[in-house]
Amino acid sequence: MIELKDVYKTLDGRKILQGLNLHIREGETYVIIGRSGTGKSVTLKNIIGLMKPDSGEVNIMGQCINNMGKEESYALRQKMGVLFQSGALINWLNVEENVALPLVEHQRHLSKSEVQSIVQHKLELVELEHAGKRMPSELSGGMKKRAGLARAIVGNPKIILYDEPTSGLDPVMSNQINDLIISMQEKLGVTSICVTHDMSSAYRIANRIGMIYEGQIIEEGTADQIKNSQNPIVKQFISGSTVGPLTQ
Amino acid sequence: MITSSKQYIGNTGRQIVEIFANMGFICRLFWATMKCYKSLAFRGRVILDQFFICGIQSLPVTLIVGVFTGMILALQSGLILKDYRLENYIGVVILLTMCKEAGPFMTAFILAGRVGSAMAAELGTMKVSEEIDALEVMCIDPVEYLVFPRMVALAICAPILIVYVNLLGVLGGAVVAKYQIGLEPVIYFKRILIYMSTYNLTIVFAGLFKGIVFGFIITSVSCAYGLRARNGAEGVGEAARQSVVYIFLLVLISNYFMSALIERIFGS
Ligand SMILES: Nc1ncnc2c1ncn2[C@@H]1O[C@H](COP(=O)(O)OP(=O)(O)OP(=O)(O)O)[C@@H](O)[C@H]1O
Ligand SMILES: [Mg+2]
Repeated sequence: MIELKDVYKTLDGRKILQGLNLHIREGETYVIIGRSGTGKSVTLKNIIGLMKPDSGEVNIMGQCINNMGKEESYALRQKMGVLFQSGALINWLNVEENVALPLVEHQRHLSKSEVQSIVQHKLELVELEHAGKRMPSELSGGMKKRAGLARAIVGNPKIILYDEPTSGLDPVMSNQINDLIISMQEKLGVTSICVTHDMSSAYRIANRIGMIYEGQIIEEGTADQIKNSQNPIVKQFISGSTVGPLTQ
Repeated sequence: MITSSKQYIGNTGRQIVEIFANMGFICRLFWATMKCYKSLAFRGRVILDQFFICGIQSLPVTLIVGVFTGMILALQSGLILKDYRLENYIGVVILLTMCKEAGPFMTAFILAGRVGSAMAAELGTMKVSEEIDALEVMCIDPVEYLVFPRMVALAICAPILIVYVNLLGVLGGAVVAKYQIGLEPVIYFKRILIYMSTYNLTIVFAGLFKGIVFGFIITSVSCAYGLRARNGAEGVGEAARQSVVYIFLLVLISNYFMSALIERIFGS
């Protein structure tokens, strides 16, 4: 479904991705873990096409996106939904208008009431149906993320990318988001990639987990495999210990 | 001493390179914005909103600037003209100076400070909070969605504000002419009307054309800096500050060349 082959990316003279390989299967939820600043968001941006790799290949649904024209990449992006780290709601539109934005912009044939009913349905999925008229500045962090998620799924994407969906949320809210991610997979059958450093969330939602370190995936496996990994880097990361190879 | 001067030269060099690099980005952004003309009808509402934000809300400050510009022009030119007993013509001098240079210029500076920096900050905030990325992911072109309506609004707004500043300048001049120079307003305005009815006024209206160009400059520069903002809130402030400086420079330079061109084409 999604394949990254030997991807290199240098930003501001710093090597962020150094031969990253990733293969994500249809319908699975793949969680990328790793320390802050190791290039998790950069990996996501390469998948969405917001950044182009310096070398290497990104294949999505059998199409190589490296040399894609604007039309093609737009067509592909409409099959993807992205939940950004902070929700990234447009600040002068209320929740409903934010969720409706992709429809209003691209499906201009839809009538107002059709848009309204789609939006309402998506807001119900994320349990925000009562906050539709609020502005982004009046929402809590968790509500912003849920609104962002509603917007990400409004076009019925085949792939959803989550950038730290649970960071900065209380444990209860985190679990609500986790449940949402699981239900997206079950109800909509989407393929998901989730970037996080919240291990309890990773264990809960992941079919497979991959750890990124120095620009590469150094370990990959199911939650149990990662828990029992013998790799000292992975061991230190999941235990959160301050002594080990990560802090040397 | 030597190292610091070396550093200074190095920094200056880097800044000059940066100015040219930015110029390239700004020009490309301007061109990309121009190509969005087809969505004029679809963005009508946003354009109108921006028009109110840029135009109507700038009226109070332009009022003061317009009046005082006219006053200072009247004071300085009045004193000289009086020496030659030509004080009856103060109004004409002010009319021409306002319409050709001072009006467009002052308006551009006000818009740069009020609207340009706000635009850079707004788009910069959107950039660092990933809203611009989100637009791109939704296949909404940020240039068409954000920059285009702002540019159209400002290009309409600037000439209108210039007319307003010019009028206020002439009025402010009349006040000073009366109380400092001792010229009756009747004569002041009569001379202006006589001038306007006998001479070709193209050159006066050419100042409005400058307004459109300044509108383009202000939006392209501030949006370019906003869209390239980085490093959180600090980067947003930086974008706003740099864009204002850049706009001042471009307005100053382009104004000279436009004036020269206008005089050449329409001047006697
Ligand atoms: N557009 C950019 N230009 C230059 N450098 C960038 C850019 N985006 C990211 N970087 C740098 O690349 C590195 C990796 O960034 P990235 O955002 O992928 O980290 P991350 O793994 O997502 O971290 P976090 O968990 O804190 O979000 C960082 O050091 C960052 O400074
Ligand atoms: Mg990140």
